[in-house]
Amino acid sequence: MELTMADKYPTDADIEVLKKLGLPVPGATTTKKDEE
Amino acid sequence: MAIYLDNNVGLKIATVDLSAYVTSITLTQTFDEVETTAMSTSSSASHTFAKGLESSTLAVDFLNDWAASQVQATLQAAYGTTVTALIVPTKGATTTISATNPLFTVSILVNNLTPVGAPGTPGDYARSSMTFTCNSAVTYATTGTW
Repeated sequence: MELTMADKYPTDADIEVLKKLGLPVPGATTTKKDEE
Repeated sequence: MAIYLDNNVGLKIATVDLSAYVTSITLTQTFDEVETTAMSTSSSASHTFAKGLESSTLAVDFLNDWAASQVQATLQAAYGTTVTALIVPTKGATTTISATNPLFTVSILVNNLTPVGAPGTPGDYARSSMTFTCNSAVTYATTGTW
């Protein structure tokens, strides 16, 4: 099956890079519990 | 007929905008040519070929910056993985994807880095020059989000 980037962006690998860099992940939400 | 200066190409790797560090970028779309010559086609006096698997490449020259979340940190975080690259011919304050400013999207395997030593000579800017192997077909879109 052809991988088309339109299926999912950012990909899981993209998100892993963002986490390593400490950058916010698009679509991620911060809950009050996370802030505590 | 419109022509465009090639001084404002946009590049994102793993959603991180690295455009400010790019001094040269070349996206080469290519595919394998699969030979389909058969006995019945010999009268055409030539080999025949069909499109095989795509094997594109993305070559980028970067000015190095080791600050947090900048070019070298991003590439090191992506090293050894397959991440998404977005390329637009003209990046602006608000980049609109259109027929005259299409969006190219491709997965790249970050399989080589040159964080030090390119060129590595006194008096030159520290920079990196890399060619990444594409792990997907290049998607060309005239709508979408940069």
